[in-house]
Amino acid sequence: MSLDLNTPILVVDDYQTMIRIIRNLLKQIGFNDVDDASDGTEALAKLRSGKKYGLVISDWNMEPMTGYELLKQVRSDPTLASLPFIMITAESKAENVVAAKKAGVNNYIVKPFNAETLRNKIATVLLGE
Amino acid sequence: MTAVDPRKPFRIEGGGGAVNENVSMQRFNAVMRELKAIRDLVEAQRSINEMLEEFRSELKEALRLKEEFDQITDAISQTKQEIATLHYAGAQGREMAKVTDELGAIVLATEQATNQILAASERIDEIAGNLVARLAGDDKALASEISDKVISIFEACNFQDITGQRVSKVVNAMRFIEERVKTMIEIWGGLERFQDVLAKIPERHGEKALLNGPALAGEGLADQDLVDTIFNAGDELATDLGGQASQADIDALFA
Repeated sequence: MSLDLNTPILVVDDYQTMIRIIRNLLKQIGFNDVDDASDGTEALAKLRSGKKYGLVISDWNMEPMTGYELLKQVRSDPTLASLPFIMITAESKAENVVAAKKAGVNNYIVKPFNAETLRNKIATVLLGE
Repeated sequence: MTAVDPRKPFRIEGGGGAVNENVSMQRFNAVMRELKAIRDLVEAQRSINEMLEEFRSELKEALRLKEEFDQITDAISQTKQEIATLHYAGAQGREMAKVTDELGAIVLATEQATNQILAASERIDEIAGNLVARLAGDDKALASEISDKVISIFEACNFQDITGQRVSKVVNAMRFIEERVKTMIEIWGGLERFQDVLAKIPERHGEKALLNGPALAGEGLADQDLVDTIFNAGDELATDLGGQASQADIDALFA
């Protein structure tokens, strides 16, 4: 089974350069429907706007709403609860990973990361590889 | 048979026995009094010696305490001097703020460079994509390889985000130190209590005084044209500027 490259993806990061990097890497993998948001609040609004996203890739440390809070909001919303969610963050302590996992994150990538890691994690989450 | 003569009594057995006994008692008492006086004197001398010993011990302790107090006073003075140095060379001397600005400038400069690299890489990727579509064979493979290498550039640009976050941590740590210095100054009674404390700010002389590293925005000479102007104007103008000059300083000289 191969990745559905038409899967709409929402990239959430407060740092525009990082959004640009992730967008480019997703483009290289082949994804062509990528939106972005600069924090959890904006992301939540986009997720509830009606567009059916197939994956959220979010940073953790953002204001006013963090990626962790966004994750909890997504998991507590019945219409979004099963949405695949990958955290990409510089927060690399074990307690962060454990907290995110407990909150229901599907996978966790530590910055800096490479295209291969991104592709593998997306495949793991979307295809269960 | 001769009658035995009655024994001649000794004087001590004489009729004055009661008188002698009285005298003896008086002498005895006198001797005892003398002994008591001597004992009292000895006791008194012993007390004086003990007092002296105690006094010597207390004096020694007092001297030791004084020595410790002197050390504490020196330590306090040195601490105040260090605090004053940190304060005057740091917060008040705007060094701390300057360091924060320097770190901010690092983030800004690397961010600008990263975006420039990203923009160039995106364009290269676009061109490589067009070439892949137009070329065939080995040329197409070369164009594809260019696209692959562009991914490495995107990956390498990750560093920028990490750099920014690390610098933020350093800035926060410096602000924490700055706050602690302010608190220490308040504990010692505020800035006015530091008026007589000389801060140990190292002075720079000679070439070292000229080495300030890259200037922040608004400092130094803004562009090469201004440098050329001053360079061509000769030493007099450069001396008038006095070290690093802002744009306003330069404009004033040219007005």
